[in-house]
Amino acid sequence: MEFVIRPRSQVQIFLDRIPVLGEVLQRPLGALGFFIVFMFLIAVIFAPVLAPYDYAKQDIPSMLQGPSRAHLLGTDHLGRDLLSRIIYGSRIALIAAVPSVSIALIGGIILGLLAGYIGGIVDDIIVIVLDTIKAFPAVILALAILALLGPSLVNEILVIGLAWIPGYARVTRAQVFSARQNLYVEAERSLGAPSRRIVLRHILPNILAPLLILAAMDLPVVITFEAGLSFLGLGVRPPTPSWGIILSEGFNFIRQTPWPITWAGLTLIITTLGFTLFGETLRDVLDPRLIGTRRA
Amino acid sequence: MRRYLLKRLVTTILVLLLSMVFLALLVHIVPGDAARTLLGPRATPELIAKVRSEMDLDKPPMVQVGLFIWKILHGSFGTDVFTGRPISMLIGSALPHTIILAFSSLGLAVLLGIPLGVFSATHPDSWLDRILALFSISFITIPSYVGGLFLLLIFAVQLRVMPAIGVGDPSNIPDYIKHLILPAVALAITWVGYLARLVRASMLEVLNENYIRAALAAGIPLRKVVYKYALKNALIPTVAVLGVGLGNLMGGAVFVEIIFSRAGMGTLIYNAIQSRNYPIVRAGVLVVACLFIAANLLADLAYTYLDPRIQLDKMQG
Amino acid sequence: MDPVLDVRGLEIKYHVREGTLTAVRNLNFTVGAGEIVGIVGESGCGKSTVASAIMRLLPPNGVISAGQILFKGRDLCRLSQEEMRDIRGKDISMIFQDPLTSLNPVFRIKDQMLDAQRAHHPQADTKELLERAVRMLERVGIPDAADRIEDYPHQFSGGMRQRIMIAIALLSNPALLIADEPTSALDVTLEAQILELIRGLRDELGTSVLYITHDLGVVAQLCDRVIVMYAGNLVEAGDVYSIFQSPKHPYTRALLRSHPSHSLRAERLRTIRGRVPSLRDLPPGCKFAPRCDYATQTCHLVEPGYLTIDGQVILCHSYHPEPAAEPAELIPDSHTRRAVAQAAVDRSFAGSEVVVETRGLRTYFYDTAGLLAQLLGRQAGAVRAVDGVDLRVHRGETLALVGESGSGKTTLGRTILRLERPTDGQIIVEGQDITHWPQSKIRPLRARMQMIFQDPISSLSPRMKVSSILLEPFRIHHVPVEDPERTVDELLEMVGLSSEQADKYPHQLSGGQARRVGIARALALRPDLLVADEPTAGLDVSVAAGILNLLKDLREQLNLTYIIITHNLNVIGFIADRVAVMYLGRVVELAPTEPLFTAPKHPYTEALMSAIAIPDPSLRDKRRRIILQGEIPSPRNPPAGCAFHPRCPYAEKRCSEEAPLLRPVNGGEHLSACHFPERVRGGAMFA
Repeated sequence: MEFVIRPRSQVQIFLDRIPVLGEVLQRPLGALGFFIVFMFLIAVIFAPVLAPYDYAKQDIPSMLQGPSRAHLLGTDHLGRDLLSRIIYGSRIALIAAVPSVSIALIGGIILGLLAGYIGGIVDDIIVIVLDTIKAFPAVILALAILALLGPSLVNEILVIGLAWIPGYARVTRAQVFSARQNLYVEAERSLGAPSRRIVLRHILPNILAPLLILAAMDLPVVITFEAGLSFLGLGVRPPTPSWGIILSEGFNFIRQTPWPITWAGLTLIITTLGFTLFGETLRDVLDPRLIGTRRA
Repeated sequence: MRRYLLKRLVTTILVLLLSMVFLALLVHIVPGDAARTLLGPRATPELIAKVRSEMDLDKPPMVQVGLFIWKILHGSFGTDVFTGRPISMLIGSALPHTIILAFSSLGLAVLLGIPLGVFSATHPDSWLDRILALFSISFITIPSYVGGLFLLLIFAVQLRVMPAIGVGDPSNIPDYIKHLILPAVALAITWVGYLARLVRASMLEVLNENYIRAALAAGIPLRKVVYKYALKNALIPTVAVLGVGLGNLMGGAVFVEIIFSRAGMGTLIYNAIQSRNYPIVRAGVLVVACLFIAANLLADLAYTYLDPRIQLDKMQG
Repeated sequence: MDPVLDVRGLEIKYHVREGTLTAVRNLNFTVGAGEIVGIVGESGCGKSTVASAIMRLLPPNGVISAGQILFKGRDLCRLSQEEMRDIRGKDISMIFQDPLTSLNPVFRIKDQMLDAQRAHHPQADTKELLERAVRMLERVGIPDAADRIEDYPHQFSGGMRQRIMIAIALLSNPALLIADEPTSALDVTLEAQILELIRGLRDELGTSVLYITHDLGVVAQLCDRVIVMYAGNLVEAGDVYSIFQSPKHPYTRALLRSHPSHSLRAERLRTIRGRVPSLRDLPPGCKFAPRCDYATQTCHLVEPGYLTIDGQVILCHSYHPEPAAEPAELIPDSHTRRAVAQAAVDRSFAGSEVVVETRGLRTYFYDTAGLLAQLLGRQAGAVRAVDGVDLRVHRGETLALVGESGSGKTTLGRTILRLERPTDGQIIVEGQDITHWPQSKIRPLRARMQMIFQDPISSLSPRMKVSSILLEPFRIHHVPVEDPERTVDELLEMVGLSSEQADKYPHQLSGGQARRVGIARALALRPDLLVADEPTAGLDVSVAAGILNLLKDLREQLNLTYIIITHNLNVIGFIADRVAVMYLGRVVELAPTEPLFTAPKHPYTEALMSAIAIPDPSLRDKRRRIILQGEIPSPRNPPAGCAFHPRCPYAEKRCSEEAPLLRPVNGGEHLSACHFPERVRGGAMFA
C-alpha cells in the first residue's frame, strides 16, 4: 500500500461533509468553543423562556442569598434572581458588542482603503490621526469621552467603535499595501483596469475575509470591555442586567455575599473563552485558504 | 537609521500635539458649560465666571488650545478648583503608584509568560502543550477587573491573608509589596497568557527557519540551537509588543486601582469623572497617553536596536 | 576501497493528518571517496527527503521505515541523537538551497562559525578556532575575511552567503558534503563560481559530495555519477557520461529531451504527458507507467525491479533500446500539433514594421524623498534600473532581454508597457509616442500590449474562478461577449487546457496550468505584443517544455510579437530571434540569436555563455570556462566608464574612463558595447 489511509469514525465522516464548521468541530478546543458560543446564543434568544424570574423583580426579604432550590445561583442585594439577571445579561453583551465592532469594522475599512489607495498626504494624515486615537489606552479614552457624553448604551457603543477603528484601519491599510504588491493586481493593471475597479473588485474581496475573522475575534474582547465600562458605571444603567453591573453591585456587597461576583465573573470568563477558542480555531481552519496558496 | 529615528520622533511629536488639541477641545463636544457642570447647580455666577476664566473657557477655542499647550509646555496643568492644589502635584503623588503597578505586572508577565511559551513551542502538540494552550487562552480572557475581584474575594475577604485596601506604606517596603501583590497579579494574568501564546507562535515560526536546520546540520547541540539561536530571534517581535503591553496595563490599572482602592492615576481620573472635575480628567488622561506613547517609542527603538537587519533596511530605504 | 556512504533499501514515510505517505522507497546507492554524485529529479521526487534522512533531520512526522544508511560502515539509522549530532557538521556537512535564510540573522558570522566548531571541539582555544574560520572564509573567496567575519549575514550578498555556508560546512573537513540545490537561488555567473568552488574543494580536500538538483545541466557539468529519481524511486543510476549519452530509462530519456537548448531551435521540445503524480495518489505498478510511452499491462500493475545494463541501473520491467522511430505519442500537445517551419531558425525581421521602439529610455527609482528628507537637505539617491536603452522590436519577432538579477531587464519590459514611469527617453508604439500619455489614454492601448507574469499562480486573482479571470479583459475594455462560456472554452483550448479548468480557482491549478491560464488571459483580446517575464521560472523541466512549445505555436498562429525576459539562456536559444544582453540597466550586446551564441562580441555575453549549464558532460572539459570575478555592482552607483570593466578579463585603462557605445561589429545586425570586441573569442559550444 502506498498511501495508508487512517480509518475514520462515523462521526468524523459525517463532520467531513460539513465545510469549515465540520473541521472546527473535529478539533477539541474548537468544539468546546463552539459549544460555549452555542449556549450563549441560546441564552440570548430564549432569555424570557429560560429565566425563572423577571430580571428586575425585587424581593427584599430574600436578598443576598446563596444558591438554593428557589434561586439556583442565589440573589443580589435587592433580592433579584442572579440566574435570570445573568441570562438577560447575555443580551446586553451581544447588543453592545455587535454594533460597536461593526462600526469599527466599517469605519476602519473606509479609512484604511482611503489611506492605502490614495496614499501620499491623505495617508499621512489618516495615519497620524489613527496614531493619536491609539495613543490613548482604550479604557482611558472611553473614560474621558463617556465622562462628558454621559453614560448610556448608545454612547458606549460609539466610544467602543471609535476606540477600535484604528486597529481595523491599520490592518486594512497594510493589507491594501501588500495586496498592491501582488502580481494579480499588477496583472489587472496591465490589462488596463482602472484603480477603482482594482480596489473594489480585486483588493477588497481578498482582504475582507481576514478582517471579518479579526472582527469575530474582537467580539469577546469588546464584550469584556463593555462589561468593564458598565462596572465603572459608564455603560448601561441599572437595573439593566449587564454582567458588568452585576459585578459592580457585587463589589459593593463583597463582604456580605461572594455569589454575584463569582457567577458574573465566571460567566464572563467562560463566554469570552468560548468566543476566543471558536474564533481561533476558525482562523486556523480558514487561514490557508485565505492566503490562497493551498494547492489542490 | 538616523533617518528612521528622526521620522519616528517627528510623528511622535505630531501625535502628542494632536492629542493635546483633542483634549483641549473635548470640553466642547457636550452642550452646556464645563465650569457650571463642575461646580454644580448651587454655585454663584461670580464663582462660575472665575472658574471659567481660570479654565480659559471664556476665550475662543483656538486660543484655548494654544493656552492649554503653552501651559503644559511650562509644566502647568492649572490648579484644582476644590482643593486649590496644583493639578501637577496631584498627578505627581498618584503616578508612581501606577507606574510601579504596571511595571510589576509586566515583570510578572514576562517572567511567567516567556518560559511557558518556550516550553510549549519546544513540545508542540504534546498533551502538556495543549493544556498550556487552554490555560493561556483562559488567562487571556480573564479581564483584570474579574481577576481583581476574584483575588480580592478569595485572599482578602474570605481567607483574609492579604490587605484589601490602599497602597500601603511606601516607606515600609514589605508592607508596600504586600499591598502590591494582588493588584499586580490581577493585572498580569491576561498578559501572562498573551505572552505565552505570542512566544510560542513566534518560536514555532523561528524553529521552522532554514537557519535552524542549518545550525542542527552543523552539529550544534539542540539545547543551544533552541535557547540561543531560536530564542533571540523569537524574542525580537515580543519586545515590540511589550510597549503596547505597558500601555494596556496602564489602562487596565484603572480597574485594579478602583477595586483595591489604590491611590493611582486610575483612581484619580475616575474620581475626577465622578465629580465632573474636568481639568483633572484632562491632565490625567494626557499624562497616561504620554506614557503610552513613550513606552511604544522605547519598544520600537529597542526592537530596532536588537534586530541588526532593520538598521540596514532603514538605511537603504 | 569502501564507499563513504552506502544507502541500502532506504524507505522514508511521512505521517500526515490523513494517513501515511511513502516519500522514498527501496533506494540503493553509494558515494565513493572523493566522488561527486548527483541526485536529479523534478519537484516532489523525494531527492531532498533523502538528504534530510542522511542527516537524520527529517521533519518530526517523517520516519525512516526501512533500510540502512551506512556511513563509513556505521548505520546512521541506528545512532542515538547525540551520536548523530557528533557526526553532523564534523563528518557529514550540509549546505542548503536558500543562502539568504540559512544563516542566523541576529548573530555575527564569527559567532556562528565559532559555535559550529565548538560543537565538536568544546575545549578548543577561541583564537585558534577564529584563525581557522578566517582561513576557511578566505579559501571560499570572501575578501577581507578577517574583518568581515565580524559582520552580520545581511551585510553579504546571496552569493557571498552561500560561500559562507560552504565555509561553515567545510570547517571540520568532513568526509561527505551534502549540497541541496545550493545554486538554484543564484544567478548563472554566481552559480558558475559556486560550482567551480565545490569542484576545487573536492580536488583539494578529497571531500565526497552528494549534490542534489533539478538542473540537468549542473549535473552534467559537475558530477561523476548520477542518480535520477522519480516519485520516490531511483529510476536510473550510472556514470554521468553514459547517462547523458545513452539514457536507458524512459523517464531519463524524456527528461533529457524536454530540456530546451539552442541546438533545438528548429524543433519542438518533447514534453512528458501528464504530470508528476501526488504521493497521495500513486499508481500501483511502475510509478512512471501512466506517462511512459512504452508501458505495457505489466507496467501498470506490477512494480518493476532493478535491471543492470552496461553498468547503468534502471528501475524498469524491460530495457528498451532507443527505437528507430518515435512512437506517435511522443509528438505531443494534441491540438497544437503542427509542423514547425524550418524558416523559424533564421527568421529575419529587419524589413518588417516596427511594433515597439525605445529611444534613450531611462527608468530610475528615486528614494522616497519625504518631506522630512527634503527638510534635512538630503539628496535623494536613485536606482538606475534602466539607463539609456535603444531597442526596436519588429512585428512577429521575438526579442529576448537577458541578464542577471539587477540588470534591469524586468523594469525595461514593464516600462515599455508603461507599468513603470519612464524617467527619460521615449517609448514609441506603432509610430505613436506614448511616453507621456496619461494612464487613462494608455488603458485602451493595453488591450493590444499584454504581459504574462513571473509567478503564475499569484498573478491570478485568488478569489475568482478561471472563467471570470479569462472574461476580465473583456469586461475591463467593455468588449461585449456573446457567449461567455464558449469564449472561455476557446481560450482554454488555445492554450491546451480542457474546459473543466474553467470552474477552478487559481490555487487549485498546477504551476504549468496557471501559467497557461495567464497566457490565455493575456491573449483574450488578441494583442499584438506580449511581454513574458520569466515564462518558465519555477516550473519543472517537462512542464516548462510544454509552455515553450505553446509560446512558439501561438507566435505563429497569431503572428505575435514577443519580448521575453529571462535569465535562462537555454530558453533564449530555443525561442528568441534576437537577444539583448543587459548589464546594469544597459544593453551591452544586441544580436540575432545564432551569432550571439556562436560568436558573442561582448565579454559579459561570453562569460554568460560559458556559464550555461548544458546537459552534455562531454562538453565540460572541452568548453573554455570563464568564471567572472566578483558580483554585479549596485545599480545605485554603477562603475564609471564601462560598467562591466571591474569584472572584465580584457579591461584596459580606457574602459574605466570612457563608456563604450552600442555599435555594430562585423556587419549591420550585431551590436556590441565594448571597446575591444575583437578580444572576445568564445561562443557557447566551442573550445
